[in-house]
Amino acid sequence: MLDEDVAIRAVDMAQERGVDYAEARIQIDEVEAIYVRNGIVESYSIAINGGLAVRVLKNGAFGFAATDDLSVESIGRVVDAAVKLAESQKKGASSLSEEPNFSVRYELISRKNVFEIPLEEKIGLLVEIDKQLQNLQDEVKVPFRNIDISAYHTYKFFVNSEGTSIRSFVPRLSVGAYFVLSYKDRTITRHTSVGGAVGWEKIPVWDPIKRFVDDAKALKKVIMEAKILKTDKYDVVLGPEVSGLATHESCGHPFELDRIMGREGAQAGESYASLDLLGKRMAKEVVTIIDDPTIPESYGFYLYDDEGVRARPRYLIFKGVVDEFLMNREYAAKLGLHSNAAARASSYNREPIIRMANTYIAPGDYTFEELIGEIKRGIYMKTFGEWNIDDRRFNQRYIGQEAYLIENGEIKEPVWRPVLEITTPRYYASIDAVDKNLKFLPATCGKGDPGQGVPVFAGGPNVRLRKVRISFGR
Amino acid sequence: MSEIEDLLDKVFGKAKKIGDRVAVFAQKKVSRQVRFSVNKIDVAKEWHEYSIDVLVEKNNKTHIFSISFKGLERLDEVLKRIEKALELTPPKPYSAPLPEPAKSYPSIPDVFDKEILGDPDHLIEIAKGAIDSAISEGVKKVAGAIYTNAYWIGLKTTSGFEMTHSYTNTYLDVRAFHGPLETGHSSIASRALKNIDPKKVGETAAYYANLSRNPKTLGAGEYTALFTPDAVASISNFVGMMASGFAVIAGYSSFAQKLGQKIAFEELKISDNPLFTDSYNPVIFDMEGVPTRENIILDGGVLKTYLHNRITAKLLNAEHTGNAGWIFPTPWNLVIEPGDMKFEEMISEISEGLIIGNVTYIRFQDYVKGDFSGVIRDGVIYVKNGEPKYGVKGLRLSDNLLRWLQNIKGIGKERRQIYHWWLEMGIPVVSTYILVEKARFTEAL
Repeated sequence: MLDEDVAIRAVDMAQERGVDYAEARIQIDEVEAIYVRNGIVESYSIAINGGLAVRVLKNGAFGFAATDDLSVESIGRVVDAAVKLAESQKKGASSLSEEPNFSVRYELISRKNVFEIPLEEKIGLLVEIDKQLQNLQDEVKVPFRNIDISAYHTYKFFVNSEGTSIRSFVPRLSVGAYFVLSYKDRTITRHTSVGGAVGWEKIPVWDPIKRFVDDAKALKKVIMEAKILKTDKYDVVLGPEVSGLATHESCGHPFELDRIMGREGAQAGESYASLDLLGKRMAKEVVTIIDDPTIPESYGFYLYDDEGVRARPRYLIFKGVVDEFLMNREYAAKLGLHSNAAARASSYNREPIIRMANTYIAPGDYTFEELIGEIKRGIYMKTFGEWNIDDRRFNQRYIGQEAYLIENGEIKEPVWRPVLEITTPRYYASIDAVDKNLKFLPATCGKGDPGQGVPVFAGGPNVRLRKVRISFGR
Repeated sequence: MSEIEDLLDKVFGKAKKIGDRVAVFAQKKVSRQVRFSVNKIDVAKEWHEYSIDVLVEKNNKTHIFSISFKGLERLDEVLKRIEKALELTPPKPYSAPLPEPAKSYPSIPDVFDKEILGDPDHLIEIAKGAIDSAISEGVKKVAGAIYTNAYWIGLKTTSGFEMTHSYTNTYLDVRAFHGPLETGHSSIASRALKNIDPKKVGETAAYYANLSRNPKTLGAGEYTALFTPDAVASISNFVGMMASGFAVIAGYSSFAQKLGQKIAFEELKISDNPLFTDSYNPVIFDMEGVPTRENIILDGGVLKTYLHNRITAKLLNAEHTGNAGWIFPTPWNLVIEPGDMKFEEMISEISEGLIIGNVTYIRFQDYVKGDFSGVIRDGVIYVKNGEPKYGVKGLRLSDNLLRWLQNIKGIGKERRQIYHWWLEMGIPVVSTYILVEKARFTEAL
């Protein structure tokens, strides 16, 4: 499957050309996807994308080249290109942190390989989801229903000039839905999905039919009954879907050291965080934020990153205090530290850059009922629709989709499009309690130029914010 | 026989044995990029890649596969999986034949710049030129990327179409910083390196960074706002996406059931035109072998057409527009017709309002209605009595796409082609300045 000799040969060739460091990565991604629109199988698709990336460091400058043609001639061409591009910069200021060397092979074996599941079963699942969503229609219409399955098998072989070599195989599966509800002059457009580094055996556990249909049933009630409240300060409980997104966007991204030090300045942006934030308090003790690639079955799972560094949980915030940033070898070296294995490349033709894996607020002691029970008047924002955050990750906004009024400790009627638009310091300072219900959701995190979408888990527990401004959408 | 024709033949010959309708698209691409930040080069990159995409249809079932050159060694295995899947998939209730080849196809001059395949040292010089240019205008930090691509493409279909084509393109994207909130951005996209002017792009990015000094809060509200070509290109990407016939039938468009209606400012004209002078994407045939052409999406503010492949054309009872994508028809290159207002005139029209240098992170709460918000940056400047005064921080564009289009009051004369990493739909835009009344902005507290 993997042409390991090709990668080893590329590293040898680069070394013969006098580089200070060389690495080569062969990556093959096999994809199977099925897309059903309004009950019709629009497409069944297969993709096999793979090739070789070579990255070299010479005189402090990085050169990177990639190809999907693994002939001897082609390998020579990309090695030459990577070396030439490094040399063209004359002299750079980059180096790599020192890390232990490993020679490791790991494979995640799914009990039911998705590619071997009969196609009828996979199509049947999607058509059944569609049918049950369609059956919800009465005075509320569900005119647009888009359901899909995507399964990925990712094979990697990484080798560098320092003696590390890592072979890995990770399967991933996701089932997603995008549907539209309409009622009188209101519409709701909803994206939702389930997924993980697993095989088909997980489908009965996820039960996407029930999950998506329950989601739509709740939104049906929202579209018919939701009230628009007055803009005011409310206590707010964010469900795992919303708290997970907020954690990913306003802690995970700004704690990427390349952003902090300006490398993404023209693209994803910089960060509100600076190096002197390390050791400072950002939130109350109830907030611990972890990014952990090693969570079994997680969408962002890996055991060694794309620089061959062994993965571990990263405590970005520990009991409210900033503990560490996400680092690869280049940026760890700038601080005289070791990498915490955050280097990821989305495919063979992308350079490894600093990325999250599975980022979440650690669960607390509260039950959900206790979290709600202490609120006199508040908003429970279970899921979101629109969201965004500025490039420094300072100014964020989430609009609730399934959301309810909380009165005297009880969840009451649905509310229409509550808008939480808040600065990051205020967001974290407002969190006073976290419940024990940890729930993860798959997502694709984007960063880099050219763009790199990598699989991650978002999610977390239910999180309570005290006295934050909520307005209500149109 | 060219490398691309060879690839087409090899794959087509096998694929046509399992399908009634087959289309094979092959591409070879050589790309380079130099990325820079904090006034220095971070990395220089080069890619040599092939891709082969295959559409196979049988008995109204659509299957697609895509393989890189490395994947070609498994072509027979993939074809077997596709053949088996064709037996097991339920048919669609609609179909349309792959179009017959047209009598003629467009010819676009100057589509291939050989300089793009020249010495990569030139790209290092462009990067350094952009950094030096912005720094000379007084900013502290500069970041960005110069990118070049050379494409050799070909398509062969069972309807008898077979053609190859090659072209190049390049863009320079620069962001200048005085401080974290005092930023400016500019970019230029072209088919030829000679049109990339690092000095001008660096100066323009620095110009907006300089205008953004000492940012203050302004408060949420409705403001007259002048959107720069970069900001307009970002928003226009969603106009292009929502004009796709597939977006209409899948619930991703605010333009559904609005054909023939006036949905925008009466002087707004937006076309999709890959044949436009120096278009970034000068393609001459689409993925179904239909000639590309100018399609006017909005004219006089009226929605004139959706963009179609053979299937969406059939489902929406319309003519094929040469925009196939096998599933999702897409615009190739949006072009906004220039107005008659100079930048200075447009600013002078603002008694109190804003310049919006860039819009990023556009997300929709409601695709059908068009409610969205976007992060504004890179020159958010308060304007009073026609004079830019100071930078503004903390605001977010929170509007409705149809409302935004209807509230346009002026269109700029100067145009610039925009293509860079932040265009959400990846559609290049020949863009201009647009003045909008009562644009809605919210503020985080």
